[in-house]
Amino acid sequence: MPRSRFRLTSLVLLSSAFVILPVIDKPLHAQSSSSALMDAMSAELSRATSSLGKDAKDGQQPPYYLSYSAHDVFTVALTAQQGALLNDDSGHQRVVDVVVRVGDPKLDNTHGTHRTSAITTIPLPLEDDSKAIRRSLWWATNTGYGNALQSYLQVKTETEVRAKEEDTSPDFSKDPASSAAGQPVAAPQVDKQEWGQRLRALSNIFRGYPHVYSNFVMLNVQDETGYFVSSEGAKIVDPHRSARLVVFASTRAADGMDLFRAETFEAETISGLPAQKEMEAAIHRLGARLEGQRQRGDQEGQTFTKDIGKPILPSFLSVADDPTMTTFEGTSLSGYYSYDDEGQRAQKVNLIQDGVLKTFLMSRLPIASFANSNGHGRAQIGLMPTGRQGNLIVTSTKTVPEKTLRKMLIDEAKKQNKPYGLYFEDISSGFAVTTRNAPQAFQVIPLVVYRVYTDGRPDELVRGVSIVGTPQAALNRILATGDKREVFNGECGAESGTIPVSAIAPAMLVSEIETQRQQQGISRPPILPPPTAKTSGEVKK
Amino acid sequence: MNGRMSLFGAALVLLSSLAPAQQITQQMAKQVSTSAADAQKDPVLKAMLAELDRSKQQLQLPGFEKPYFIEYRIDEIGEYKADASYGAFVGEQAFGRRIVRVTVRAGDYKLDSSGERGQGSLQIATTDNDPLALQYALWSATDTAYKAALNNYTAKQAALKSVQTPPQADDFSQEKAVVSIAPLAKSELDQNAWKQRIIEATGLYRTDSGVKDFAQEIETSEGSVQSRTRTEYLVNSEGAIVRKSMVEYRAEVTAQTQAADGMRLERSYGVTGLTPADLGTAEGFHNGVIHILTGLHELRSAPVIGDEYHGPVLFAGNASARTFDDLFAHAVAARRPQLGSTARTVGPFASSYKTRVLPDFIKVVDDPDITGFKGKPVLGSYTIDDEGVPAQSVTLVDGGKLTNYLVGREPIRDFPNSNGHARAATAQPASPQIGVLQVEASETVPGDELMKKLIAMGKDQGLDFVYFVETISGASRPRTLYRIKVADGSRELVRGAELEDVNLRLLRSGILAAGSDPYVFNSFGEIPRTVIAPPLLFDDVTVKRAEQRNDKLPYYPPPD
Repeated sequence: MPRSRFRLTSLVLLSSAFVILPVIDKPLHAQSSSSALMDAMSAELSRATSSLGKDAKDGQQPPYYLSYSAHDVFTVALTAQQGALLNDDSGHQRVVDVVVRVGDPKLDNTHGTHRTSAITTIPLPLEDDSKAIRRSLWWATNTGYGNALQSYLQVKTETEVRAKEEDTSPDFSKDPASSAAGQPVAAPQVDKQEWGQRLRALSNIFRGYPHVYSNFVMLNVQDETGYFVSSEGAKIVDPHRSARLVVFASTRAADGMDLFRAETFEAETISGLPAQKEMEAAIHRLGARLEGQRQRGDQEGQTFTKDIGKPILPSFLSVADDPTMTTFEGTSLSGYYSYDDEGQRAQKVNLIQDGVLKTFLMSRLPIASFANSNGHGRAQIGLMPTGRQGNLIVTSTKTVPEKTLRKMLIDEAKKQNKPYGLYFEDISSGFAVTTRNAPQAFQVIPLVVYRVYTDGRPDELVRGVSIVGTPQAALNRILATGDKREVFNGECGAESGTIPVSAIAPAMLVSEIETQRQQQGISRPPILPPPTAKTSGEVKK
Repeated sequence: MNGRMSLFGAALVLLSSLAPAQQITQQMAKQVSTSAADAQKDPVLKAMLAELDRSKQQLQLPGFEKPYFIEYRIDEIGEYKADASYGAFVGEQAFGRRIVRVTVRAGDYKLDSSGERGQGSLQIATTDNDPLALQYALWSATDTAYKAALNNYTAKQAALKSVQTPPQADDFSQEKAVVSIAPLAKSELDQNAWKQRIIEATGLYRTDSGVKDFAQEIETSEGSVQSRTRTEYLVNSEGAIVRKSMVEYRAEVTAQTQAADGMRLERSYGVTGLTPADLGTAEGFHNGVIHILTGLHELRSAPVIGDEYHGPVLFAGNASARTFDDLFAHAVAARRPQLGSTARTVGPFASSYKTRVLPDFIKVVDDPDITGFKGKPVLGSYTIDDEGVPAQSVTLVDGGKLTNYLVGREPIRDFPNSNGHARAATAQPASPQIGVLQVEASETVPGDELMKKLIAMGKDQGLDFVYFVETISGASRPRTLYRIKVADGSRELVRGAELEDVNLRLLRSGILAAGSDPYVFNSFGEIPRTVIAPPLLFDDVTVKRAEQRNDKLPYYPPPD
């Protein structure tokens, strides 16, 4: 299924081929603010807070925290393949995540494996019908409260019988409540006729690349208004708009290895996406590269973890995550947001400073020695937020021009008596704290790797390279970085769902990487050429 | 606060782009073409035939054999659905998709690559009528399906060597290739009118003067209206060319409450049909919903069933039809047994051929060709099945004895050919299923006679009460159950009951009499089906308290 989700996260090491997008900064469409929804949410929240657990029978204690997070979302999605549309959808829905916490911040119903017991998600009426909205919220709150009580009872029993836990952090952080009154977004203006044609034309390019066996071009416009109220007094109306065009292509080498590439174009609104010509050129590059990649084979492969206060990168490198940045050198960043999914204001967080790991991306789920959120509690609708990436930014104080970097690579290879060095042009990776017990740092999957020979031969594409595990050692061997930073926009998947993220990084020279043979597929490439290939008629390539 | 929607958004699709440009006149629209030349006028069939031809000619992995059978099926789905709850509009979706399913068989009719599950490979295809893009999707699925077939064929030959008993029937039946190109159906639902109807209907609990006094009791009130258009395009290497198209409609409202003891109670009112008119009038829908709201209120205060009961029980036609749907429908499907087995088929009727499975006054026929029954729509009707074989009327049970099975193209012993009952859900493989199952009794009793008979039996057995099941879900959970006093025939609604011993043995030897007014039970969905059955009087059924947990009542009252 071509629509299957792929994850592209970021951190572009040694990257060069990236399209810089023009900045489009259009004001939001004005729309009558949906105060009816916000009013209904506030009224029902306060009614719930003052009613629940008040007669205190059966040990039914009141919730100590309650929040309603409604998402009013407009979507437009078009996908094309081989010059024709696969789907042309648009929608408008409202969904609310109701979070109920029973117990106290030190120990509540979300403890340990019970994190999901706090969340109940239901659709909300699209009409500003206060009665129907409030009745829906009542139903979800009542259901959620029941689940929370039951789970809290289990949590208490489990904590009594279990040995003392290693991490004694509380279950919910103390963080201030925010207020913001943004302007709700209106339905996105997408000329579907025009964009249908544009997508058809873009996807049609792949007819010229018959060995790119699976490919599609997808446009996704999502304009959303978040409405957040909590029993702590938070009141946030927060609009967020994005338009993204994703080109995905994959091929299969003769030895059965599947290879894929993707290219994304990101803007706040659809009019901010690049011109057709620019996207066409990018697809041609992608098609040509993928076909080149399937020609040769080689195997290379490793990873890294944390440790606060210890150097995990060379001292000239720093890593921050700043969700408040909307663009970087003209490119829209998909990891941008103002408030996270727990109603916390987005903050810039310095994760690694001069090579030393300082902190993690935090939600309101505390971990040992980090008690507070830093505005990175993010989740897909319906899931509990965890600390996640927004816009990850790598900065370097030891930069050299691209040319010099290449020369350094060759010199380093010579020094180590190696016939070639590896040039990682495109890497997909992520940076996240995923669970309380195993805060994780980076994950790296190289997409395009070149061999750069010491004897002056032209660069050679290699594939099947895998850097797995924790490449801490590898990252400590970064010798220098390029002087230009590239942006990668994509989506990052983890247990709190798929969210949009960005990464900004310069090229890096790594003195040594332990590589590992990547597991190979066993399927053969297609027997017949595709019907769209100009050479169709021949039986075997 | 930019959590992402996990679905790519509910979809509004240009349904118009689904239907190939057509200038079919009203008269022509009723006609089914049997001319292969007409296939060339349909851009989808044309692309399918072109790619099929290419595969037939050229598809072969060096050193392996060519496929002996290739089938291309494209399911074109156009769906519209609007939802409402508590009297407010929640959203609407309309989407169109085309999904390609390619089946490739290696080997021969006697022994081929097919396994227990239908083989095949899927791709999403364009909703544009772009021939090359359509062929591209077919090509991609064909490649995968052929490679899988070669693998399976080798594995199967190896597996055959490990069993003593050879297969009891061929792997695939030979059938006459049919050309049948039916006109394209299109949803004619008045979306705005129906949207308003369900918005109104889900708000009745708080607006209608007859029921709003107990509005506080209603915990959920949800509804939807839906139309589903499915056009299937099927071609195979034997020459079959089929296009069939249908629309089904449904509107439904469900409300929930809890009794004072916490028992969850749910009632729903739904209408289905093959035309928008089948759904009935606005007034009819309104009244139906008021009826269930009133019913819920009554059910709330109805007594919980008492001691366990063993004795005669009368099923209304609705309950009988659902029971046959639940117990009987799957038992008569012919499914290939495991490799090495001596069985004819699998399931409870595997060895029941020619033996008694129902009382001798009962006959069961599955006839997909009927399109209506006493003025009621019949959702399960069709003329060509999903393997391209014309539907046949099949007498399954005659004089109480099992005389036939529902058969597709994977035959079983003594039934070497399909009787046109292979049916498939969207993108799924076809397997034998019912279409329109009719349970007929040669002797019938009018409704009130049946009730008298029930009470008389109770009297004979010295019982104070007997039971009448009006509606049921599945074969064991009555939705409306009445306790009838033997002394005076008065009836009382009871709740919290569950039936036991409602099984195939009860159908075989526990049916005492059948009513004269059959009920038409339609199932809306992927494979629409119909069961028509009369009310049935059973001699011995257990009625007992359902084992269920009673949830807490709401922790706080709903808002006004």
